[in-house]
Amino acid sequence: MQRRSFLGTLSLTLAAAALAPMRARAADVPKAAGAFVQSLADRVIAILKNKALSKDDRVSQLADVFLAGFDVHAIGLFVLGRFGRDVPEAARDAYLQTFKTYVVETYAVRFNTYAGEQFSVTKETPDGPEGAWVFSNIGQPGQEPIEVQWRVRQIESALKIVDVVVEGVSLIVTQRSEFASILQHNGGSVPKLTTLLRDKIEELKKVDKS
Amino acid sequence: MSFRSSSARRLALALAATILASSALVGCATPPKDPNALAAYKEADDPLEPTNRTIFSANLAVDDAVVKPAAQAYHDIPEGLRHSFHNMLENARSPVLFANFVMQGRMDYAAETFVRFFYNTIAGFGGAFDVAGQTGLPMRDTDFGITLAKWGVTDGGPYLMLPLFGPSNPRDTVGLVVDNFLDPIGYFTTFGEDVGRMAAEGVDKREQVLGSLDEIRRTSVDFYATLRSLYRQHRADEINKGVPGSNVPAPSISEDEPPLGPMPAQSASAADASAPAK
Repeated sequence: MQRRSFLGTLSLTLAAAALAPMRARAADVPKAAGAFVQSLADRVIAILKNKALSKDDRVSQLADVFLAGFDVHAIGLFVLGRFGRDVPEAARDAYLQTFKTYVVETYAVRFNTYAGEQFSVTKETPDGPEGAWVFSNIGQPGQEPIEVQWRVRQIESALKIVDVVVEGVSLIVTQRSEFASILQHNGGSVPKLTTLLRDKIEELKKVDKS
Repeated sequence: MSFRSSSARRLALALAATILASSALVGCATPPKDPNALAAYKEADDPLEPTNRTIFSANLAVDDAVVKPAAQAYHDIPEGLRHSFHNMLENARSPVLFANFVMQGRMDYAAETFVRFFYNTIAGFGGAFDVAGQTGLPMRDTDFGITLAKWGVTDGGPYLMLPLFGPSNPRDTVGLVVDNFLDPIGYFTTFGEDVGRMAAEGVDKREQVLGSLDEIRRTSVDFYATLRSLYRQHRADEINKGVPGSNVPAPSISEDEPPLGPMPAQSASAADASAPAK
């Protein structure tokens, strides 16, 4: 009896030990999240400082960092809100694909205009067992630093940013409000929203080229 | 001592009353029938949306024609001069801030404002230099709308797009008018000087958001709705700042649970205010 349970406990322990390195323990998530956000910021700053890059290369590298850091899929579903509930899969996938291009065009491109160099993580707090809020200060030349809060989630052993909050304003809540308004005015049609997003992407690309 | 400025106050009161009264009478949006759209309509808490959007277009036109160019010109003047001008405008608001902090029961902030005002006015050349800020007394901002919120008017009411003044709601519109009446400086200035000062404050504020507002306008499909959401969240943050326990977690968005999971039917101010306090 004792031997069996000893072996049982041993095998369970070994199994647990084998799984442990794949996910940060709950207690480690905030620290890991803080390091994660800092490393993303360092990459962005390095790209912006690299004068040898052409504008297109710089934007494309910034887009890579953005897509690596943010869970665009989950955010895309969230900002659709209740309107995504009854959408056929094809329409939903088309929307998600367009949404990904839209956020790269709007948010990743914004990194390009960031002229400052100071980014420091100030603290991390847990957000449930699989998440954390990372607080950071972003310095701007000649102005007070802004406090930016990053919501990080551990999704399938990878860390991803799922929201950004500045002065109480949440990126995804704002985006969801905007999409809710567009959908409300367009009979709840997600394909129509997708078309409007595509139009906006075209519009933005035209200006960026000029 | 000139009381000609009382005409500015009467005008402000008349304007606010007109806006609030006509808000009640002017055509409201018809609530949609589709359940998803209806829920969105309720969350938006913007029954006057058609009128608000029209006023918004007018505001944007005025902004493009007058306010933005003025803000850009203001932005081009040397930074030191601009900061001095900004500090003087802020300093002039001290009496109103003091009164509001007292009404909110925040005697500590009221005392700080008092000290800042005298220190900056005397040692800071009429407020041109924020010497008090440099010694560790930061400026604390507030208004009568926040005072009303602290007194229990936590729901500001439906979204209102005011001509020139921009996003607001009934509670905060009342706040604007009351603050105007509370301001002692206005009792010593002419109507023209009052308007001039309001215009200067408008341009000063506009300059601070020059880049970011244009960026949001450029990338938004529905700029009106985006601004409405931004305004509401920011306003909730202004009201709740420093209040322990106001840390309302944002809706969860994990991959495993359905993204459209339990979506509480909150009012827009609550839905848009779901962000962590500092």
